Amino acid sequence: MQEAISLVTLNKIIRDTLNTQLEPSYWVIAEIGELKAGPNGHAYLDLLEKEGNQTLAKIRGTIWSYTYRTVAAKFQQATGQRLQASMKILAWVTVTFHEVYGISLNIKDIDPAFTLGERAKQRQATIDRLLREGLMDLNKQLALPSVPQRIAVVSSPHAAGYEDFINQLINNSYGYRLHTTLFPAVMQGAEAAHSIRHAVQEAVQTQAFQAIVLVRGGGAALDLECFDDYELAKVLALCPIPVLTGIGHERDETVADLVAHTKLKTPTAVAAFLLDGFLEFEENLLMLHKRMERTVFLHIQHQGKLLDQQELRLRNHIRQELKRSDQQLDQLQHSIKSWSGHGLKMEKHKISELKNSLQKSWNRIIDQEQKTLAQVAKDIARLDPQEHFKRGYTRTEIKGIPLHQSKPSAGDQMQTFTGKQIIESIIQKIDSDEHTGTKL
Amino acid sequence: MNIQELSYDQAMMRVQEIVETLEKGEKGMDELTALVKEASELMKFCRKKLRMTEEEINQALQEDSEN
Repeated sequence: MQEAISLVTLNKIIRDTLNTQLEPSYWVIAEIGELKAGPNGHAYLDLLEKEGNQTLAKIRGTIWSYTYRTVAAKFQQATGQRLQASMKILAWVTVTFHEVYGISLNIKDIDPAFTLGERAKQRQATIDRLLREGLMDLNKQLALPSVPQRIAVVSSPHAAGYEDFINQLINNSYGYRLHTTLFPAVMQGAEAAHSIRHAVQEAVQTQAFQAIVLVRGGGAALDLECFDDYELAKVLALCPIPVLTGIGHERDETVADLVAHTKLKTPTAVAAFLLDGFLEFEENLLMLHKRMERTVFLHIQHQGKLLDQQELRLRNHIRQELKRSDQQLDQLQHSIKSWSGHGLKMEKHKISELKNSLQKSWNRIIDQEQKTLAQVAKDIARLDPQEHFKRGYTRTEIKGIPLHQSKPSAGDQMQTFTGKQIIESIIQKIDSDEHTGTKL
Repeated sequence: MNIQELSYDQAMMRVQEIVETLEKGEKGMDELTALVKEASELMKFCRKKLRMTEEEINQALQEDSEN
């Protein structure tokens, strides 16, 4: 069995071994686990190496106060961030071993360029992932209303930037009213990303807002790493209402800015942007009002002209109608006059013609009658028995009946008239010879 | 159509539509009067609403729903 030694002896052996075996110093890559500044100005921290959530290595570290002041200032100036937990650093370290306090690293310097590079790499990886997942432009595709009057503000109530934003909105010179509701969040440090995410989700859940404004307190200390957080970026990208950022920095955009609907540099710039929307809306309204006034004026003027024209046409029409009626009356009067003269003449002529015609007819009738009378006279004269007697004819009667109408028989007494004489005779014999009879 | 239920953008679109209709000059005097009245009311409401407090807006909406 090996001879037992005291703990002090062992620790001295360890210290001697480390001193002889190790290089005087190393550049080591590690993540800051926990960082505490002691009252004496020294900084005490844990350095880690992790794979996912699993810690592969861990060691305590110290930065002595004098070094810490220099290193921290240099780091903050270069990166815009304070040294803090979760940060990956490249540190120049010496391994020290103390018999009571054990092994630790004495940090003599930190290279900010490494952290910047790491952060840039991380940021780029986040951007690549958001692009790959189609999240980068999702929120930009939402329509921001011209006048977003109900606004959820995610910020810290004590932040100067929040106050600036609210003051600018409330005291706008146009009298516009914007209704803001604050959803408080921690805006810096390790908790910030989670806190902001939670506040955004809470605002979305109320369904009462037209836009979410993410404003940060400005101030001297810049601490922007939380705004490059993938989970926060995802929540902002998937937000169903437009997100406006005013994170208050001059350097490259954060990932939150990249996924936001509209990115503005400062909280006051966000307020000005919103008010500009109101102003533009109202100016458009005024412009439309002017256009409408002008159109209505022109229309009324045009209608007035049309009315005037119609009135004029109507007047002309009436005047012409009156004139025409007047002329018609004149013509009628003239016609009546001329007709009465001419008509009388015509009637006289007609009467005279009728008279002539009557006279002619009358003459013709008289003539005709005279001719008829003459013929009748002739006929009468021809029928006179005396004329027959003169030509040797006689008339015989039996008992007063003309012979040709009576039935004579022998022994009948006959009277024969000659014109001058009446001869009485007695029939002796009658021959039935017709010719003889006829000749008689 | 209830003016108070319109968003600013909807109101603006309607006003724009009315002004364009008027500018075409195809409407008669009666229709024109009605359109001018509608646009004027929309503009008046929008300009008033831009300056309304939240309580006033809620009150206006409440009064409207009661009517």
